[in-house]
Amino acid sequence: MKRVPESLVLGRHSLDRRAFVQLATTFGLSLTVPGLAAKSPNTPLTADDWTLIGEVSELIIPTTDTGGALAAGVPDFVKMMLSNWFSEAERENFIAGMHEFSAGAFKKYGKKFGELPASQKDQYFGELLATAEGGATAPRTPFVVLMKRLTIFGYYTSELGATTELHQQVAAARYEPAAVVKPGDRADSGIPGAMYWFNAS
Amino acid sequence: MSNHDFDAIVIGSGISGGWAAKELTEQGLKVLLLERGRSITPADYLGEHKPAWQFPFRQLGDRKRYERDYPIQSTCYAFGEPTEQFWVKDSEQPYGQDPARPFRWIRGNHLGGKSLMWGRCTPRWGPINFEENKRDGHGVDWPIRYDDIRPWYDHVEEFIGVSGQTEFDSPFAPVGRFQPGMLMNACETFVAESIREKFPGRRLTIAPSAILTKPLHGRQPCHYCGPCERGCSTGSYFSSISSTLPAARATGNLTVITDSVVVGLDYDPKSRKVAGVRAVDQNTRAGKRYTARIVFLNAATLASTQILLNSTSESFPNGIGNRSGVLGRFLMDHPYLTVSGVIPGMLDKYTIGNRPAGVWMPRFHNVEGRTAPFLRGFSYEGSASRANWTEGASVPGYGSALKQRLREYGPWTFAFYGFLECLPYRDNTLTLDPVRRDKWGLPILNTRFEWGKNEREIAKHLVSDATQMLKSAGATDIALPPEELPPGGFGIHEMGTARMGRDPATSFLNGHNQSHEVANLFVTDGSCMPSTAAQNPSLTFMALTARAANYAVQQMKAGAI
Repeated sequence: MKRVPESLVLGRHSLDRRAFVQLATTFGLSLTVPGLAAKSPNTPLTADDWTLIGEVSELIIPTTDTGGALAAGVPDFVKMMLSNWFSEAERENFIAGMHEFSAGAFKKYGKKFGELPASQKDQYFGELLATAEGGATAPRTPFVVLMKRLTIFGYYTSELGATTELHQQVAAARYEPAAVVKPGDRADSGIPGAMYWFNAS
Repeated sequence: MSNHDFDAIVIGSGISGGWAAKELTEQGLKVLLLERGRSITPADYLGEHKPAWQFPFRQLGDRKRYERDYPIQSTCYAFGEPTEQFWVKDSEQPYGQDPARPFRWIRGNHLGGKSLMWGRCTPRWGPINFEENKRDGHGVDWPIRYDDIRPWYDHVEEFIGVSGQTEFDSPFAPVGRFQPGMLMNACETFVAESIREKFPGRRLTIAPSAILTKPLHGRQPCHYCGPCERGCSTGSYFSSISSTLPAARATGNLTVITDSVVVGLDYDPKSRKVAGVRAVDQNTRAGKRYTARIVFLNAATLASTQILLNSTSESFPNGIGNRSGVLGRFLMDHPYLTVSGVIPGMLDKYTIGNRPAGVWMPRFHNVEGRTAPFLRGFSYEGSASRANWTEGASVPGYGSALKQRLREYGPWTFAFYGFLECLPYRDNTLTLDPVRRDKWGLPILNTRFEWGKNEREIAKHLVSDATQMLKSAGATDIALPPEELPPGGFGIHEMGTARMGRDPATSFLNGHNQSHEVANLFVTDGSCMPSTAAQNPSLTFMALTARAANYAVQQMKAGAI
């Protein structure tokens, strides 16, 4: 059993539980060490950076029988978040992490991430994510983890993700308390509660 | 109408003010309703049914603006991008907090007040709740008993529409005049049966909720969209806007003035009555004074107390009617704590529709005399739901496997939200700042609030009992709240700073919510409460208001006021 920080226990609805399960269980607040964010200059992202962000998002939620992250406009969502929602320190951390991610690919494969064959992109990203999700502590939340959070949120709150990939039920006009799940049924995409506590740090 | 502008002035249009306006106008009084905030109509329910992608921040909200303008309000569970127009900007309406003893003041200053965003859980209080202060000596004796308020609970429930179950009648939640209750889902039913089997005396049922399951007075039954706090254009949950204010308007006796901030009540020592109500237009700051035969103060606990404290005269240098010195003391709230766990199984079941009522378990400690190692007790709200993509970041992996997994529902989680009774403490206070004033000239309200030993002791049991019940239903991944209680105010059940009582030396109001000292002044919001019980209080505020309004009219007719 775990204790949850007070700041995350905010509501009476399952929103809170979801938020703290998300924040506390997997990534652990230990991943975040304020003040250790790399001192990267606050430069605007380049076209190459946006290509990389798009490619990584598509690795996380790929096109299958429905559209993936790119079709859902996840890079635009990331751009909005970085510009308007992330704090300065969080944005610097994201950008520093992204540069580290690129440099790591070059070091490992001798090529830029964008020039790698799909299998190597997948392998490189997958290994980094597995390490991060395996409980490794890092001085700051890794880029791959931030990208996963951003991609999931951006994808499933897009019209494509919410209504085509998942099922959106706005007002059923009835309540069935024990409806039976049929093969092929998709989960409801609704966010329970008024606010979702996104963790950008 | 004699030489007064109106027969009655009601200050505040929320849960209790709406009821005062309805009852007084229906009794034939010409009523002026003063609301400090702007007008609201269903056209202002901007977030209703709006999908996430239509919000600029996809429902995350404008974090930087919230940090600047809503640092307190944004800690409330119902605050967010779909509801932000309903909350007070903390940056524009400051109040004081003792840094070591903080109090979160959650506010909605607009027509309808917090009735637009409230939680809608409406258990009655039971006989014991009106007797316990006397029994254990904490707080003053309630000047009324359950039988005094019972007919008014009937009256209120029938008018606002409360859906609930009628099979289990608890001494802490007597069955009322209910519409059919909403249904518990598969997981809630499983947990309820497990508890019933293993914990005699404890029962988990659907909560009595002010949400319709049948049409009522032109309002439609719930359409199960879920987030009521966004507003409801079918009027399916009770709010002043959907229910009491339309009824008051229909009498032809109601005048509503919005944007009108009441700053004080004038006292006339000759008649020993409120002689006038002073207000300031919130936009133009123009002052205006209104008169009436009676005044109902329903601005919600903190704001009503602020107005009373700011109404000083030679007769009452410490606030109108405050001969006893209890005005602004004994501030109370309900701490609430969340305990949740994953319930295995039932993976072939889900729900169609988003049910806006929770489940509820009435208090089960200290039922027959004191048996627990603490005074009073706690109740639980709760709910079960299946995980969806919102927990996706905690699902390991990526790619098509992750996408496939998030296409399906995750496991069921059951959460208890426990509310515990708070005893009244003299040093939990509201005071006026001697120097600082808000932009309407009102002295800023300073708060000082801390929990006592009994609350901390109850909290331990609230958490361990919930954990035990979850475990006995097979739960895993049990998540506990922090050991420290949350600050006061979080429960949004603030009460007690102008309390009722039998003795004018120790209470502010009598058994009809009438000032002991000022015969035409009635206060019927949460500030009147001598105790908190462990039940949600709004239904009781409404019943007390209806009772007081009818008493006031009788007294006026009898020439006593």
